[in-house]
Amino acid sequence: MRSARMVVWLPLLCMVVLMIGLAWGLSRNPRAVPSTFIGQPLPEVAVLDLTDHRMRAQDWPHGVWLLHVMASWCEVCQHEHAFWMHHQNVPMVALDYKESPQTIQAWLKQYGNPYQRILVDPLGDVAIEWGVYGTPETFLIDRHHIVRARWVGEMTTKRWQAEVLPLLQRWQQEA
Amino acid sequence: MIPEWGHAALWLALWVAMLLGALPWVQALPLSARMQAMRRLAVVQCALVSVGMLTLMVAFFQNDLSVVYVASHSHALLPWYYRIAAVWGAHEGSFLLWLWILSLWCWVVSRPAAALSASYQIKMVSVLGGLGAGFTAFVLFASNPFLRFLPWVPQHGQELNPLLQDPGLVVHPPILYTGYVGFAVAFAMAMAALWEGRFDAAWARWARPWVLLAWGFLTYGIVIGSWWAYRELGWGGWWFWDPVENASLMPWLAGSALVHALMMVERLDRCQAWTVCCAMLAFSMSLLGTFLVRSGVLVSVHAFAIDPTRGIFMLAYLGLVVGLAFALFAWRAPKLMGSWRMPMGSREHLLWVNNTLLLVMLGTVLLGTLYPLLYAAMGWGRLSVGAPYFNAVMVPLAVALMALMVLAPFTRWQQTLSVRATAWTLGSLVVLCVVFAVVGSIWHWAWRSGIGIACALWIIATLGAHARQYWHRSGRFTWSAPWGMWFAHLGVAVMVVGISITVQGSHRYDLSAKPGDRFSVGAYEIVWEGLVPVAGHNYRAVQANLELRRAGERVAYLHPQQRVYEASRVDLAKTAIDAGVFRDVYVALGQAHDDGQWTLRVYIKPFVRWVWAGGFLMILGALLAAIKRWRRR
Repeated sequence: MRSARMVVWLPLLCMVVLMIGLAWGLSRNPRAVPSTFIGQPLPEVAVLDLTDHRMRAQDWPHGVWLLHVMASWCEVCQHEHAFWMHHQNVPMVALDYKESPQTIQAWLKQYGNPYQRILVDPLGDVAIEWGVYGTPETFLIDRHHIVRARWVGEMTTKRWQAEVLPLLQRWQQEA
Repeated sequence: MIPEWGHAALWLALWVAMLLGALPWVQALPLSARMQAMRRLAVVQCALVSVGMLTLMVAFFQNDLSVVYVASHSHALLPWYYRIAAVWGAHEGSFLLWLWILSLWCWVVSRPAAALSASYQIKMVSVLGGLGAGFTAFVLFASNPFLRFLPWVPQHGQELNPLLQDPGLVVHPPILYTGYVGFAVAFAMAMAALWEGRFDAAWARWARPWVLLAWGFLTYGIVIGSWWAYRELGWGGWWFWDPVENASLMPWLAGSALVHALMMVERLDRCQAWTVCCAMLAFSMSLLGTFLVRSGVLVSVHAFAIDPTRGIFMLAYLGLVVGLAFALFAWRAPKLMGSWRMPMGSREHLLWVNNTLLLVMLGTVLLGTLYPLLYAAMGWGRLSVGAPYFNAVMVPLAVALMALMVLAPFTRWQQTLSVRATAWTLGSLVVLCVVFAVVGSIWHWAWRSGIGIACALWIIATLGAHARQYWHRSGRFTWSAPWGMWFAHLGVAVMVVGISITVQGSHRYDLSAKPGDRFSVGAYEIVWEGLVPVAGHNYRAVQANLELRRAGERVAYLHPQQRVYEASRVDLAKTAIDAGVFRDVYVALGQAHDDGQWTLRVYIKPFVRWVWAGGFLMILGALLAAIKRWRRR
């Protein structure tokens, strides 16, 4: 009976913790994505590509390129894939977020591969280093490997023309 | 003037609801007079809130742009039925709808019931009155839909979000909210029981049909929502583990536990404290869901209206209700606690295991939904929890639940299930699962799908055996048969078959094509006959005219569109679906490219309708069980 007396307080305790957590959650702006390193070089981390090759600075594409965080389990990325298949005019590197290399390989084989290189991040730790918010997400990176812009969420023709292309041209012209 | 009437009615409703909430403390009045006052106050409160709701509908119908809320969600070009439904298309109106449904439930359960003691019923209805008062205050102070733009009235309304312009909007929110808010009755019942310090089997018997009804409405709301997302979002999915979907799943899981737990109180006069906890949890989850969806604490595809200042009000309300409820529980529940001893494998034992599993599932969903928040709180960054987590944890739990469902029909109250019978049923289930998983893997199916189908088939078989047994014993099927259990469990089995097959067998084809092309997708061939412009009420569209063929024979015409809504300049892909019992062919028209090619997405989704059909069977089960209880009275 003593233990029963303790147990009945448990729901209240859980609820209080939950409420405090939610109150904290409310106090921050959910829409603001911290741009941790815009204007900073892409943090160097140990990351492998699909051929188990460890990426080094000289392996990145030359010139301006896009880093695209995606996964085949992400519905929005699937939806977006057709868009990328039609916009292959700039070098792209994919970071495959939290899935096995075999899965993404099979998936790209089926739906086409718009990427120069596919980096794998089965545990999601590279994504944390790079401050990834969620899938899909796109980073614009200049010839000196400095992150210049990021877009969270699905890329559309409208967004591409209004936001990405102008920045792309600007950084391509930059020496 | 009309919106002012509504505004005034809502103010009056606030006072009436407060009176209703105060009723149990008015000791000066005799009990019978308080009963009468309770009924009258509940009726008046309901009438006043209805006036509020009606005036807002009229304002939308007349497109009265001087009302801020109408101006931001209506437009002269919007068809009238979407204008009416736009009442609940955004924040303020959906809260008014919430309040209105609460007042309706309060009116319904305030009818004096012989099964309940007067003091108990007064307490119960006054809890509903208190909830209503808090909510009315919230609507009036923090999210008032009757505010005006005066003296400058805008020329045009901003349109309702085009994603919401769908028949789904007309039915989905009212039904979902009827379910959500229906758990308020269970909550009030639990609070009153704690307050009284006892919980009679007769009260549980009275409550069960209402809880079943609320659960049925919530199920209906979730099923309709899933179907709506499927046809509207154009991603071919029917469940995304999105925070908003999870918000409706959590009260559903707690409600399912409650529906089962109430049986223990009703039959054995036991497990009162547990049942009360489930009831409070179900409504807390409804409130939490509303909070999560509407406060902006989580970002989601569905979060259309976000305003953190309202979030603070809502959190205060949530904290007050939930805090009071569980504090009362901690204080009074020991009074309701009896012996926990149950024979192994008896019906109550299995029900208890079922409850535990359902609550673990609830915890899983809650954790997955709130984890991004926790993650940020710890300063680790930001992330979103996706389907892999939910599938990994929920599938084994669901399999365990299904194993219980296989056993359920053969259990008896307070009797140990024979070891032989258990070994037979569970043993054969395991064998069947292994066979299906192995045979499935030969066809390169995931073992999960094989196990799902095996469990579902075995549930159907045992239900059949149980019905047969019943027939042999009674000679005919009457209302005494467990129709509710049969249909609800059958619904689960049908849904699992649907999920297993559609997850496994769906194919997606991303095509680049232009009018005049023909291409094959799986066993089908699609002929793109032409591309025509189409004009709707409030949008312009290009429509692809596609002919779907199989083995040279025409199956259907499909007309997917790419729409532009004129008022809001929003693009929307309208999908075209050829629905069938065994498969759906689903086409979405994408964007045009510079070279004249269009993106076209085609999905072939086998058995996807079974997912919703299963949901409808569950609702039918809930309805039958409720009707059975009412007939018995």
